[in-house]
Amino acid sequence: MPRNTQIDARGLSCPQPVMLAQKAILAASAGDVIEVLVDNVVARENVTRFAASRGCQVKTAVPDARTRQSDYEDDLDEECFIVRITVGGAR
Amino acid sequence: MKRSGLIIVSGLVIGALSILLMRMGNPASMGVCVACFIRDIAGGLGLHRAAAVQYLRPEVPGFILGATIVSSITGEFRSRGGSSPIIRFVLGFLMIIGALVFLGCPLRMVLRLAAGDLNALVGLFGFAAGVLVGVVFLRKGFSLGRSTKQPRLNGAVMPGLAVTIVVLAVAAPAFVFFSQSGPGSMHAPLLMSLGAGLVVGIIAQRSRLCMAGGIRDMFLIKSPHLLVGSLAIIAVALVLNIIGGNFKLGFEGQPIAHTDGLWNFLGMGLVGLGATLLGGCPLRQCILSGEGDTDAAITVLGMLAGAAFAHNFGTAASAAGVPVNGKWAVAIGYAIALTIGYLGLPRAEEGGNRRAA
Repeated sequence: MPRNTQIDARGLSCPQPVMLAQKAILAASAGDVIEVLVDNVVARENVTRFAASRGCQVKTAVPDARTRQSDYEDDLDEECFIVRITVGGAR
Repeated sequence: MKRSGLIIVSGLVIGALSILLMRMGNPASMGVCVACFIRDIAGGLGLHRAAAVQYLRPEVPGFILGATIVSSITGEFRSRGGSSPIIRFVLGFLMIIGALVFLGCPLRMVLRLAAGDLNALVGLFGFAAGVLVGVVFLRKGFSLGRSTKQPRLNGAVMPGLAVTIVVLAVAAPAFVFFSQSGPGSMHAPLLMSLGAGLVVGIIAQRSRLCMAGGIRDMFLIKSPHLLVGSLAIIAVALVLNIIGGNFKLGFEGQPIAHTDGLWNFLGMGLVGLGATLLGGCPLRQCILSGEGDTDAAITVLGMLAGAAFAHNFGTAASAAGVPVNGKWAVAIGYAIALTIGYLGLPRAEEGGNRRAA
């Protein structure tokens, strides 16, 4: 059963968002989904590049009203991205 | 990938522009050294009175404004801050103390290396060692805390200051200091310096080039992405130096450099440690400060204060060597930076300060 992990990396400076993603990817099994919430383009790019380099599938989305209510309690009025990482077999 | 191409182009352009600016009058192997130029700006504003290093270098405001322009177009400009601003001020201050003992920021370090200055190789080893110490702290969970969104005016302050520096450089009022001799008197034409600074600011914003990040990411996530940018700077500067007859391999007689290996190593080590704790090298701090990052802006002001202090208190090195005050300043700098690193680690009872909002 694939697990779904969420990481809030908003407001963290380089390279902390990537390190949090790295930790989660290493702890995950193939098929698990890790969502990294970031609030700037650089962190989005870095997390995306890192996850792709570890053989994961990566998609970026903008949080919608549903996630705003359920997954993250804080307000998400500022610019945010969810980097959705599907962990691959080989890492 | 597109970004990998961009980082190489970024390195090539910065390396080539550095050599061009030196051809047009900037001091030898200084190129667009952020530490040297912030030191000169501190002198130009009269914050220190070292007569040889006073000039309102338009390159630095160019970096900042280039980043402001391009980040406004791409929508990346965001006023943010609140991630330990006063600690960032201190770390920015310490980076410059270290850089002025070595005589150059990481950018000038690679430019010196590309001109055959082997003292810079010693500096590079020190820099890498400092980054590695910073990486150890990062691995243990070091964080300066989260930044949050701030009212838009906050992000506009640094670009505003940059415009002010350019206006003062152009208008040259009597209260601004301009060196009559020494490195501060050597400069490319003002508009060329400003233009080159803007170009560097634009491409460094797009490529996220960071001299400390290159080495850090190799240690941390085995990613050569940013390092390739630094290597591109060395490659193009090396080729242009050899073609121009400016390549001279050795330790002795290098321009605006000293041969004290221990302090070249330790000086750059402090820069590497500070930059890793901050999350970016002096150039990257300038770029971020232009994108609305007020924490980076505070860091740049810390660098400005550190540069003034370095000359007022005689801690900056010269071709003659490193003064005793400089050695003390670097030693104290390590004590402070290591304390900041230690105290920035997550506390067990807090469940890690990464979680702190």
